Amino acid sequence: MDKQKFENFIALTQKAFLAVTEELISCNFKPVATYSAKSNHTVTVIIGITGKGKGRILLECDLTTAEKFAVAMNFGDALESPNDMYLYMAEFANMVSGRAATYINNETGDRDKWLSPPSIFSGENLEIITPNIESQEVYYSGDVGLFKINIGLGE
Amino acid sequence: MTISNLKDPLVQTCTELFPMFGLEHRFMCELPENSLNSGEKVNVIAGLTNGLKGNIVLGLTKEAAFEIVSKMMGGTQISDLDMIAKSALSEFMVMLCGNTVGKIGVKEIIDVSPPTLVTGDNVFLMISKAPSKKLFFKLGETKFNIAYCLE
Amino acid sequence: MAKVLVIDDSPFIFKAVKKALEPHGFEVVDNAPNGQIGLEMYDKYSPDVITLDVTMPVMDGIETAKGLFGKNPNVKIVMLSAMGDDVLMNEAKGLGIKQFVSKPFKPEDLLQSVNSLLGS
Repeated sequence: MDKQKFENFIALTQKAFLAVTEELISCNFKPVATYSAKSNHTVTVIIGITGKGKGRILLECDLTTAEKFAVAMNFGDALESPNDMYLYMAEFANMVSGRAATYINNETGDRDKWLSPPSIFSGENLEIITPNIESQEVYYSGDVGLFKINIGLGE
Repeated sequence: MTISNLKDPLVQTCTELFPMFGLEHRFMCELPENSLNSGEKVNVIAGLTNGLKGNIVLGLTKEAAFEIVSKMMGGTQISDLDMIAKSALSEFMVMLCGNTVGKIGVKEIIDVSPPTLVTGDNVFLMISKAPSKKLFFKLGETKFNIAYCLE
Repeated sequence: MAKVLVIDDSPFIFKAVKKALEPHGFEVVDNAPNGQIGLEMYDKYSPDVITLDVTMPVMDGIETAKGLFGKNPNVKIVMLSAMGDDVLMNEAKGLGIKQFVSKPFKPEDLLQSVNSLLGS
């Protein structure tokens, strides 16, 4: 993967994350240097990428942060079922990756990136790895908690 | 043409792929699943895009994961999922998905995203907002499953 | 009172559309979780405006739009999508869709798009 293109995709994903969180829940996230989930029960959304450069975007946070985020998306109302947290996190990740892919596609004037539907995993001691692709992580902190964004792209 | 079921191409691919590595497997059944489901200790997910959108998850017990990796590595004893083992499982998933999409009769190109491995305890997963389907298999004395959804 | 049908697989979007439009006198009648159900609900409710997602299970937004225009060439659709790239926009415009709002949306943006379609 061309280093400059990879850096550009990371920058555009971060731009998308900040824009979507601001528009969605009016929360200003700031970049932070380290990430440490408050509990070992975490939630990760995975969105596969194909097109020119295959890879995936991971959005990770702890369970409490995910629940707080979902409630904020639900206009502050309590969630009606345990499924709702997953549905809201999927929608959120879809918006972030969709916005990032849109930025890229509009830059290139082509369908450069295709996205798979989001899949959400929650569990204890989750370890997530996509072998054989280069990845980079960035961390963001906001009122609802900490998020990790891991972007991986290969050839 | 709308594709809503991957059972036949997945089962057929397994029938071809597993014996290639000397793995004895048996297809048991396909069952509908809720959108939110419990996962296995080892889950390998790949996304489908372009001509067909969806997700495929290979769900493995640790024993099943060890067995597949061991056979892929020519019978080496496996007791831990290190980087090489994870890479092998990823490669297995590439073969599984690549062969499966090749058996789907659509004109459009179906792309497969790189497989991602998710391991952990008390895993729950939602691979689609809509209900998904799961194929159950036996693998020697242990078992594995393949969950999929198409949008 | 103008009726709005939401065709979207996300319950969050249904709620967001209700929050954006109901205070302004619209009746948001129902939420179809995919295009196939959306086409059935179109016959049931005869809505004045439809908000339509692009990526949905069973039948996506582009195919649904083709079905809706087949039923009524003057159907009024606001397309809502997280993917707002030019290729998709051009495909939707080619079908006759005139209003696009990217997800997430500001309530006033959706209201403006709906009012624009209704000519008010």
